Amino acid sequence: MRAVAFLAALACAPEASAEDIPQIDVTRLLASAAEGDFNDDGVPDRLLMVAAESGDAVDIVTFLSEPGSGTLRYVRTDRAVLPAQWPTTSGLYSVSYGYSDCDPCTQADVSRPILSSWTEDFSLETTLRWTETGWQITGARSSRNGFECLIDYARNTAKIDAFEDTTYTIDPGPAPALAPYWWREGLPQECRLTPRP
Amino acid sequence: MRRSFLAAILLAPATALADAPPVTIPADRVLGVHGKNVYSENDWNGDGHGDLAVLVLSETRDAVGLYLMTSTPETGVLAVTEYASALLPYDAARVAAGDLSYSFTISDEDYEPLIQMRSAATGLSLSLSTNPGSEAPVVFSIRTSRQVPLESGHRMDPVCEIFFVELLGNGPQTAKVHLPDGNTLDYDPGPGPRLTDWHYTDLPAPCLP
Repeated sequence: MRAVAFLAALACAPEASAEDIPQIDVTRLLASAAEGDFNDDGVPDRLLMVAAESGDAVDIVTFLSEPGSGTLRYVRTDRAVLPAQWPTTSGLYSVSYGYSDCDPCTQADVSRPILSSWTEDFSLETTLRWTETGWQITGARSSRNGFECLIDYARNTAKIDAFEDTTYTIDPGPAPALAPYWWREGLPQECRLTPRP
Repeated sequence: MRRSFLAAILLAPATALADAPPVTIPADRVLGVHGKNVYSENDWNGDGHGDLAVLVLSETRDAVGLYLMTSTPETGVLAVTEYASALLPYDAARVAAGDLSYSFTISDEDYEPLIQMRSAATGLSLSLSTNPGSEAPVVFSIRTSRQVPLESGHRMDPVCEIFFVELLGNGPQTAKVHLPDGNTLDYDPGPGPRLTDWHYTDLPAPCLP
């Protein structure tokens, strides 16, 4: 009985509490977004890009506004969602906003964060959309050595711009989940990032 | 405790900065990050490598502070060089109510960090600039203006114009505060206060949104 009550309590527990808020080394902060309304409640939310402990990836920390109060609440940390070469001085990381396929558009539609990571070897941009279960990947743009791959999971299209202005389409496959290092296996074979040897 | 720790960092030789213990804060204290970007606008110390500024809530969560960091060119590793703990006031209730908002951008004039605080209720908007490339960064200027709605669009009326450092197009240190009673207060603000010494209570009350 006690075990059932414990499991029920776990099932009802909020996703994250104040005690779960991660401590961040300020020197590992890469970028932030503080104007977007990810959960479509009219109040800005917040997202931080942080260099992962390993240095080869970017973690994102998400805060969403509480319904009613407008107070920001820590929701989750998603690990290794973008590649990185940290702390080399050549890496560039940013968050911007974008949208696609919406008419009319909600605030959440036009507040889709585009996470970008540029290094000497490759670049990857990932467009996300917040859902009840967490972040969903809605698009990706990868490039390496003058070879660019543009995927729109909402439209189920993928295009490759290769050398000498050669463009062709490929099957994007199903939208990958935002799991750690998803880009290694989650992108179509032609779009994967293979660092220079 | 923190002050002595930071003082130790600031007094340490440059080679020791990379070995300094990390400065960690709860993630919910981070308000904004101005990191490396494609235009290298944040290479404030001019060594060819991007630096970093992070806007934070103070430990007491009633003020907005700023961390400045510079990178070691050989490794890209960053180290905290400045921490200003009370640049502007922070009122969580007004933020949650949608009145106060803060943003962190770069100045169009010199690409240096610009901290902005706006009040939807009063229409006041404040900008605070600094000079992170200096060995001893100061508060450069503080400008507050009020948005006045017009039949078509709006206009921005100056409320406070405080220049601690002579800027292009402005005279030497000047301060002008347009008081609510219609009078104007002019005074010499003195030299730019060190960022780490500045406290927002040093600002005349009408200047705060």
